Amino acid sequence: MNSEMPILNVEGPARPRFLADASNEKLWDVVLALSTELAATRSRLDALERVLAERGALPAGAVESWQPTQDAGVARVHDMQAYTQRVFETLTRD
Amino acid sequence: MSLVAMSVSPRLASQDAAQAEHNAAPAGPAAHSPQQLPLGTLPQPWRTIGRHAVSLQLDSDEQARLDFISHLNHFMAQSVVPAMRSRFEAGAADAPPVDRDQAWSRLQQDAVFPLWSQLRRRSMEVRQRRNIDSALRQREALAESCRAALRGSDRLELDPSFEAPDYLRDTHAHLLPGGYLTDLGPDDISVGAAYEASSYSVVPGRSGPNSDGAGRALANWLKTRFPSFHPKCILDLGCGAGLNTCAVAQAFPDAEIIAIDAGAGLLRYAAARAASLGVRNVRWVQADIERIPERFAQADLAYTAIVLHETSHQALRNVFRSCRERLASGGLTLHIEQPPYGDRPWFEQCMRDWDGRFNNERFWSRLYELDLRGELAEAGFEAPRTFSDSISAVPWNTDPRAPGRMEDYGRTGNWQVVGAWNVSQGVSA
Repeated sequence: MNSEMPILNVEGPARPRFLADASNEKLWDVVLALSTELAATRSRLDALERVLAERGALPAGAVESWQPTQDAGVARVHDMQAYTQRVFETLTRD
Repeated sequence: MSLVAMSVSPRLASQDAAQAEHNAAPAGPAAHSPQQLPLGTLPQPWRTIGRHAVSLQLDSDEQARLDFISHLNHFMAQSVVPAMRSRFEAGAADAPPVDRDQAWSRLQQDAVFPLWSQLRRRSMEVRQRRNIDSALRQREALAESCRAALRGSDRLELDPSFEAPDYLRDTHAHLLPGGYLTDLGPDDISVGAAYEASSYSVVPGRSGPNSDGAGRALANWLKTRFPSFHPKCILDLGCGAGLNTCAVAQAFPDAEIIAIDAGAGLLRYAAARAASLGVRNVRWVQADIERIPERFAQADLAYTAIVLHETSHQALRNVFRSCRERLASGGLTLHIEQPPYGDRPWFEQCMRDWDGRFNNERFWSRLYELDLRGELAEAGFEAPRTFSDSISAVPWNTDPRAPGRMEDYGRTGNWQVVGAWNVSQGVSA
């Protein structure tokens, strides 16, 4: 996990090995990260649905028919890339 | 001797009236504690953490990620560990392990333990990493809040020439990148903000909104066990972010607390946080707890709260000896930690030992094998005046015997308190 902050890139004690197969450890790191992201998404969606339902502000089909503006489209791509890096960041480490 | 007759530092006694009035100042407007939710033993969501002027701010996604990690750890402690224990005990019934190392080797052969262990480690790494990353991104805003909170205060005493001991510099304690000593310059408090956020998330929430369960437990135990003991000068050794310190300071408003730690960033955070919470009777001092400065002699109480496992055997001996030297006659030293391994079942010992092996707690395994009363006697306290007792977080008591609960070993507020009176003829427990 490299950081822009040099202080966070100082090596601590060596990381122990838990599973016999290093690739398997990476896979479980990804599973944990994916589960975490999915939990955050579910939490946010649930909050959105409840807010909108409370306000009667979500007409049927509104999500499916929505098209982002150019700025919003760019922002969503950056979000998706940041998301991908968070999930697969274990591949950047030994 | 009578507790009432115990000596009080003249310097502090002369300040009592003014100090008590000063300490009664109300909490700042930025401080408040959201109501924790009626969840039983389920993890409290991060949004119920106590807030103050220098709190780390997390957006809803960041909070949800921390909450998920708490739920994963709850699931692993409550649902995975009991099954592992059943398998272990079935094997042990046929061939009991001869020692903890053999028990640990057996666990390594379990179908789930290695993966459980990997997920526990990884979830700790992710939690710590995310929080320090968030704190560093907010470091300018946090520094400004720190400056504002400490404006006009003389409560913080940093020593630019101070050199921290190796065991803090090299360890990255409990997987916090940079460990306790991160300090990016004047007013930087990012390490403290990250530390408090992680403290709330690790438990999660069981130590109260302010993550001060050990401090409240210590104060409550002391007032119940020794109701006529009224310390005026209290040394908090290894105060860290000052979470437990504030609880003790609030419980003893007529006392002055000297809170000592090695980390400048942590102490700045602790001082700013305390000011925001309206806690004024604490001086935050950068110094070595192994060699408590002479100017703090004649203390009535010298304690550590969940600190000793971060040190070393030699440091522990130095801390105990330094307490002995700095306590007034009739003074008391107390040390709260997780309970010793003793003759606990092998499986429980292995679960407790996990942090020593995998969570960058370098002195953990050795500490819980030690006879701390014996160590206090070695440091000069009279053996008959040493004692030990059980102590639990209040009111978030997490009694593992309660139905449906499985103690999350090493993460639960069920501690041991070990102490000694610095008198030859004084009170003993």
